[in-house]
Amino acid sequence: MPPQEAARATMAGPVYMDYHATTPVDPRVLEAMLPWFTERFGNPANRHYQQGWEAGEAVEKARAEVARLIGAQAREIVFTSGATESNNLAIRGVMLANRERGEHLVTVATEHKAVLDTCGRLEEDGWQVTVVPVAADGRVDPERLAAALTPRTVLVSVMAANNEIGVVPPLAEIGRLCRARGVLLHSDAVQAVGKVPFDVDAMHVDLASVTAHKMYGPKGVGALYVRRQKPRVAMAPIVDGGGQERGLRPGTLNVPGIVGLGAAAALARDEAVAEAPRLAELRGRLWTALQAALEGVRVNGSLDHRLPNNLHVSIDGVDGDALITSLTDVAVSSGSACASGRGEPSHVLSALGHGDARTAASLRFGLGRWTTAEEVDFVAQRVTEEVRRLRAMAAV
Amino acid sequence: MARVREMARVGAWPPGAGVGTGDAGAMAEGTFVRIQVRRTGEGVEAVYKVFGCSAAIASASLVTEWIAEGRTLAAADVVTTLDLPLDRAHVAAMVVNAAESALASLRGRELIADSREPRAESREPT
Repeated sequence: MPPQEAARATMAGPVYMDYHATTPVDPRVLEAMLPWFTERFGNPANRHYQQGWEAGEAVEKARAEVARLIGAQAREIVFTSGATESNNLAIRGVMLANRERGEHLVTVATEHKAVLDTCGRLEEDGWQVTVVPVAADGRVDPERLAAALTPRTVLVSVMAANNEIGVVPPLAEIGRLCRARGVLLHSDAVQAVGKVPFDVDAMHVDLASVTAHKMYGPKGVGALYVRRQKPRVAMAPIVDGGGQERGLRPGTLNVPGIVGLGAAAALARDEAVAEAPRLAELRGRLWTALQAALEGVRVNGSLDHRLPNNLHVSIDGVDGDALITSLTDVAVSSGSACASGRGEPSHVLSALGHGDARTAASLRFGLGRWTTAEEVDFVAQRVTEEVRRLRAMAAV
Repeated sequence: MARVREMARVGAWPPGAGVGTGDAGAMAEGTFVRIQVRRTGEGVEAVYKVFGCSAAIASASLVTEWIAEGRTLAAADVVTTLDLPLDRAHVAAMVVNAAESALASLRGRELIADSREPRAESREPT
């Protein structure tokens, strides 16, 4: 059985359309990882015997694969436990190491909480943070971001693709203006890498966060790209220990996970180009079906500047929590909190200026490597049925 | 949360002398519940319309079932029976309020109807 069919056959449960949340491990990735749990169990820090140097070689091979995927040098890749750690290390590490240069950093209102909360904590500790708003299409205006820069700005953090609405910002333009102003640019590239072209030189990115489980690798492993020249980024570690990863991320390396990340990166590089148009076509099929079947459905954020596998819609007259609870045979995410006051509405939708979170449901569809046209049709049908049922339930 | 998918008592009756209606909440605020009740011989049956989260829908389903069974309505019992998180307790209370309003409305309409009936002595043959 080909690997993709094998993977699809093992995906039990509701039709999975939440590939932004996580992805199944590609069987080819799992196969690459398995020996490193058992017979090849060495610690790469122990280079004076076979198990150790074999593990070290596997880690370096994976490092090279991750680097190639984003146009970096292998020595610029630091392995971490995932995107949250990568984002924390990038932002805290740069601000800590560059105190003499300044105390100001800039980010965007629609960033992931791993970035916004890290910036918020730094602000509590005395750093200055500017959060730039986005336009109604979810994109940040580079001019507006440039206006936020000061002579004391050290770092700008802008994600390469939004995890909720899939909107892709003008990152290369932002990178150019940051470079011209001598400000470092970090990008949370978790959702973009392996889906759309992402090259650290073309985009003038100095730090980039990557995670394995968003691109068919295992959970619990990621990487941070740290530019080593033109400019060389000064970094400080945020944990102390045994000096691994050039002292930037001490701790015994997760060899099976890193091998999985490397294998996933190699597959992404080989297959993403072919995968993107197929996913964009399926996404278009879903959007067309929903529009044809339902009144009061609209897309959130720019449809033109968007990941090929993302569709994020709001549906009037339906509560998001009720809709998600009703869709027991479809795995999708609600883009907003329960309309009746549980939690806060999505900060991303709020940043887009949507004030209808109480009377509209928002759904995030994330298509992936094993999504089929039949699944898309099924999901469109089930969403339509449940929206109509809930609207009938509410009609007075 | 099977009750979220249940449609057995979802519905509405035309307002009239034999129907009590109780509303709570507002669509614009995220939750709206309308419960209607009417006599069925010795008992009462109830239907509902609801806009809101799954807790609101499940509460409306349960409360209308309890009305038909003649049970006493209490928000705390709804929370316990449905195992709702505490931050959903206000939704259960809203549904119970709508149900109590509907029952009060029905009783009020019945009292009015009774008062309009001819007095017993006037029905005696002259």
